[in-house]
Amino acid sequence: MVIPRQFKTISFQALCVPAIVLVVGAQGLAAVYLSIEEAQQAIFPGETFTVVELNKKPKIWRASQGGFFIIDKVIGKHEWITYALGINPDGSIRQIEIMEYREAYGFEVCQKKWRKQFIGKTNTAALKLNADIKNISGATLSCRHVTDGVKDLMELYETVLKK
Amino acid sequence: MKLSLRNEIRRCRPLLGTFVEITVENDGAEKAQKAIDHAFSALERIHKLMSFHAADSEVSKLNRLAFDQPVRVSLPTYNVLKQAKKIYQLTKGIFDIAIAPELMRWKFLPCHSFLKKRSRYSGSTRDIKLFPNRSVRFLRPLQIDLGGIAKGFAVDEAVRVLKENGIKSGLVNAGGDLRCFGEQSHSIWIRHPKNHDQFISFPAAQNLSLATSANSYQGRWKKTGCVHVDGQSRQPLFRSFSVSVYAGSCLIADALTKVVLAIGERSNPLLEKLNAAAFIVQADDKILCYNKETYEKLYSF
Repeated sequence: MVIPRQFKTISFQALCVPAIVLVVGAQGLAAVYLSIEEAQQAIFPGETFTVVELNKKPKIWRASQGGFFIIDKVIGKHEWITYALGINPDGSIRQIEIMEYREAYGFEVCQKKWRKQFIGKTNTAALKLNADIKNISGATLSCRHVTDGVKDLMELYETVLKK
Repeated sequence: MKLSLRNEIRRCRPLLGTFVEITVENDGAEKAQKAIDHAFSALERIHKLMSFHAADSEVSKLNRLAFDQPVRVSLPTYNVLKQAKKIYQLTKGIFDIAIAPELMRWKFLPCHSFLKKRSRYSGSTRDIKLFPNRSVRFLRPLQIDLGGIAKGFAVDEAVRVLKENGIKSGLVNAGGDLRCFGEQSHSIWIRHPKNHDQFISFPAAQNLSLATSANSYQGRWKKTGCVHVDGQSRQPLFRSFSVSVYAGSCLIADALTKVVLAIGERSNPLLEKLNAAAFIVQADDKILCYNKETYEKLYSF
């Protein structure tokens, strides 16, 4: 799905340095850090993986030296996060890596409103710039959804995977 | 001036209560990967030492014991406390790490059962005594939370570790408190204080620290309080604008955002003294700059 992105310029008041200032509607903003294979190698370097068949999600692999590799997805207030959890053979947490982060806040609500407001103002040069928004500074976002998700997975490990 | 890291490695982990992203230039995948792992390990150590939420952190130990007896702490915790005291003095108490009782009362921090219930926490950062042997003693009943300064410190540490491991250029971003180093320029985006699906592009950055604080997002204001507290009056700092501070170190940038939130334009002399500059993004899209001279001299190019 192609998601339209919109821009407008706003003034840097009391600032004489010329600067590109854009406000970007970031519906669909995503950061992709690792593929499944990359995450596996980042957490269990050099090991091989076999899928563990379970009736329901999440996706689970057993690493060749006895650990487990699990991919899970959590939905926060305004973000979707796919992350990988590595569990050591002794049942302790080995590593957590975020694989993908996707802003999803207010998608339906904002899209129409944004479109209306900025028709004809889309700047193609800016579009290019927006291709990869990163280095965002703002009020701190909580990672509680991920830590809660990890707790659930460790529960799953204790009840189902551990033998 | 290169504007984007074409060949880069980017990793993200949940740490310090938020998402920490490390981006480094990729000149040899193995070296870069190793450096990132070391940097994350350093962040994990700081997280374990300074978390208010974890019962076994040094911060929890101080809150539990330091009023009754001296508590010896690790060098990183000692250094953060030292910096916190310095900033407390410079800001005449507006920046205060002893605001945990307020944040607990407003339910932004957990009320641990191991903490002695006291009717009144009369102490402030001034009442934290630091001894040369790294012992800490609270002279009055008080509870500290390093949430206003530890992320900045952690970012500085992670950058130091990356450099030590031979990384020439990179960026560490701990939930909005970021620092970049090396010749690479980085595009920076500030989240809009009100509509948080909007981002404002800031001028490209090179070799600097930038931290942003805001609390006007939906759900962050409760009836009684918010995540930012004026250390002097102990009143919540409800603000509809965000504050972004440029500084030489991320610890200073992190701490100063709270001061600018509290006193606005009156923070100008302090910003000048600490070689920092602040941008205010208002809910109506207007952007103000405090201590513009320093910004132009040190942080724009």
